[in-house]
Amino acid sequence: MMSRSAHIFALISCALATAASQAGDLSVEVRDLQGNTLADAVVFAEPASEAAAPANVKAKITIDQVNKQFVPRVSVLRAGTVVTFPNSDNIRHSVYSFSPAKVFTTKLYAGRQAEPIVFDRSGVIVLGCNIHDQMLAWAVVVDTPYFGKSGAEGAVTLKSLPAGEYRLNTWYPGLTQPVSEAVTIGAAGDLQRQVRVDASRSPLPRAAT
Amino acid sequence: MTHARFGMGLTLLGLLAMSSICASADPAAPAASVEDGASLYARMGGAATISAVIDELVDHSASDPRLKRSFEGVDLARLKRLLVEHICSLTGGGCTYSGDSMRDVHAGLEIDQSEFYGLVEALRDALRHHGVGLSERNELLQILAPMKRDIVER
Repeated sequence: MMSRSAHIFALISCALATAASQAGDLSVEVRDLQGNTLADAVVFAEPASEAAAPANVKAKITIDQVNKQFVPRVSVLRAGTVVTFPNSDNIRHSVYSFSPAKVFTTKLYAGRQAEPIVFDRSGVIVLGCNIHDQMLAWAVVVDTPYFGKSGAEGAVTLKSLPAGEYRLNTWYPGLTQPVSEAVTIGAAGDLQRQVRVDASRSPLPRAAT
Repeated sequence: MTHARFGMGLTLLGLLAMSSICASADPAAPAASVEDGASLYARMGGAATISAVIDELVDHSASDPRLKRSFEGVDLARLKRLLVEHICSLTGGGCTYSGDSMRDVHAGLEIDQSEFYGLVEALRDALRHHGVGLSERNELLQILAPMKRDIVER
């Protein structure tokens, strides 16, 4: 007779094997309307069913200040992520946001570490500096664990999405809303998509192509 | 003109020397009123004059090759607003300065002596251009001089 624990183990193994076979990577290539690849585009896939329980997010990211610019200019993070502003410039900055998802001001003094800030609601947070008005950055806060940012060739891969239906969102600075489409991760696994976004209103400097 | 300028320079040096000796001088202390009771702020010409002086001072400093380094990338409109507010608060104009301390504001900028004196010179010029009298110019510089120790780093 099979012991109770062995039986449960077999069931779990079976469930894991099934889940593993029904997941896939979602590879996205982001281009502007003229066909140029776009780096620093934010891509995130939200499950159509709200099955996933809100995770206990303990993620941390940094948005640095270097030569009177934010580094990186574009961040994507999950709601609940702790954001640190290290201020690698040895001068004062005063970082602020008026965006509804997080309204705050934090003063960064030379040689003193400011308190981190939790970005706890989804939405696009536009960051500026009160002192240096050309400083500009964006933090896209999402409610899904499946997110990424395109690299130099405009490509980003969201790994190991469980099979199911998703809303694939692509956002780029200057857009008021993400570009969205429905995608399905099936038993076949991996999926590729090309997304075009209007980058013409982006304040983000781009390398000549 | 040359004589007045020379005299002013001596006065300023004297004031700066004095301030370094009197290390306990409090830059935040309100300006003492003269006999007629009018504040230094009022005698300098009030909001209109101070705003014009600060406009000229900041625009000059941000474009002068010897000074502009520290102003690059800075929101000059905000800087002007806070400078006007600060001077108003220090000269009996009734404002409350909402900015940071001079030490925090200048930390890491590595302002040297020549930059500091270059800006003092630009301030003197701007005050003169907008009709602020000699005694008022001296009074203002006397109030500002002790800030040097919080501004100059090298």
